[in-house]
Amino acid sequence: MDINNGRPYLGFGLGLRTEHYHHVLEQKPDIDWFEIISENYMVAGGKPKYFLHAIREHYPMVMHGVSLSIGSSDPLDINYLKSLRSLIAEVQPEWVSDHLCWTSAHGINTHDLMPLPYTEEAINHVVERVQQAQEFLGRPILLENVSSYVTYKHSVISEWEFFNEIVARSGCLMLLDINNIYVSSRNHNFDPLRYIDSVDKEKVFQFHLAGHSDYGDYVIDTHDHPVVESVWSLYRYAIEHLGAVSTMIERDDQIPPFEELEAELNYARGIASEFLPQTNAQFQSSCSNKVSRASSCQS
Amino acid sequence: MSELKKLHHSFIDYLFDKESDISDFICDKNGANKNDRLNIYRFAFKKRLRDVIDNDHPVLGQYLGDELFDLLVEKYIVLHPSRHVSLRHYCDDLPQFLSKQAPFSEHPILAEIALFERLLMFAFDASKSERLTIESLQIITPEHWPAIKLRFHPSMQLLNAEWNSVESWQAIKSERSPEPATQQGERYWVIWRNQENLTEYRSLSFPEWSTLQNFLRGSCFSEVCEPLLEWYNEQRAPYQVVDYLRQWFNDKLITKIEA
Ligand SMILES: [Fe+2]
Repeated sequence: MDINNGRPYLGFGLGLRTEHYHHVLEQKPDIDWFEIISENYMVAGGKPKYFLHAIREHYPMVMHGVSLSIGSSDPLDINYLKSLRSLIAEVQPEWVSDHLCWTSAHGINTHDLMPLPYTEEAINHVVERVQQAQEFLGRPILLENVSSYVTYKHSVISEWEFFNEIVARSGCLMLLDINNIYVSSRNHNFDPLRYIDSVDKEKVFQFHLAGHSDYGDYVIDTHDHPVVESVWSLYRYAIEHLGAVSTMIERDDQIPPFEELEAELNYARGIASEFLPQTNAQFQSSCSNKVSRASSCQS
Repeated sequence: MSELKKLHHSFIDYLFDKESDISDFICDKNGANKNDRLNIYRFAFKKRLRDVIDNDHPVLGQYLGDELFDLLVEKYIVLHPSRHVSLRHYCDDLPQFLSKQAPFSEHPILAEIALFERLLMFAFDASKSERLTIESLQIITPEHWPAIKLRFHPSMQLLNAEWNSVESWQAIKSERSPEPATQQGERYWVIWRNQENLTEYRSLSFPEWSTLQNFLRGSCFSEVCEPLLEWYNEQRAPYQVVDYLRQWFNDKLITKIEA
């Protein structure tokens, strides 16, 4: 089995959080890569920049943004894209991602990941803007599916059809948030397995795993809890069907000690190793405490 | 207007509690009450902004107490929509808001406390720059001294406070009750980030503050000596400036001397 499916594969990573700067730098934990939130480093200097550069020397990184607002009806924010481009030059990430959503409109930033209607109009609009952004940055970007709580009357197709169409037409890649698929499937009553079955597997470069808050009638994507069993099952299914995809745990609130996230990440490694010989080898070696750094193995 | 644009506008209006037809865009599906679902977005939107104000201005929050802080959050969210990609700038207008909006404007110390907290943040986020040591002065020949100009570390911020705002900030920070707000006459402060990436601040006398301001405006050594003649005689004034320079080198505030 070609476990890379023509994709670069980084292994198992974590979102880099300020709470863990010192630990990472002093202990150099056995994590394959880190994801940074791009906006947190769009500052002139100070502590965040210092740690970013120091940690980058030891780990591969990917950049994850929250402000591209690819679905907005305002023009693309050129100043934001310029800051992003210079941060890319600084960090030299393996790849750069943002969300398939809108965050700002009318010049006002909601600082939230607002859902788009799944319409032809929205597809055309987003495709054009993804192409503009990719041209400006000189590289393809990854887009991530967001959790959503409302269903628009105007939507004519499913979320996965919408996502696939944008990916196919714009040439962008996918960051699949397994938790977001689960959250939205509960909120909109769809089969999450169908979502995973339907995506173009060669386009999936990264997985996010995260925790949520379950209120029974609906589920909110809070990123403040460990990953729950139903999301682990979905992850197992995703790995089985999509192969080796670089996987990370995303925790944004109630940040636990680093070791807790490391243990959660090892749980993901364990699941992946059931299906992937390469990951199995890595899992074994990480269990026997050898330092293993996955490198980008583009095939 | 396109359908998408209409949806964006209606949703934004909804988040800001304005009249909005957003619920016309949403399905009541699978037993989900669309108003409950929409409210998830509005609740998260307001909570996020409230958390930013709270995180950026913890001392102001304590000074105000819960009730006034709630009022501040409610009014600020409506009057100052975020126009930046980063939430780091969300509260940039807060000092001005506090000085203009009743009931906060009736207590000018509030705007000063907020400004002090913002300047601490600006100092923390500023770009880095190499700092000179006092030895750099030794290579300046006597004939060059009158024309030297200074560049300061990008993190350096100056505050001119009329009220006991910094003192109240210090009290709350060390878990003491602040003195009642008093207009104590102008006090001058310099704030910067030190070599260990920690923010520092200290008070300045008016002559030191105005000398620093004059250097910042691009004046040279001989020009900054002149206004000091109001307090010092002609022999003393240049030495006084040298004393200030020593202190600034000590504080690691100077990044460049232009001869
Ligand atoms: Fe995510």
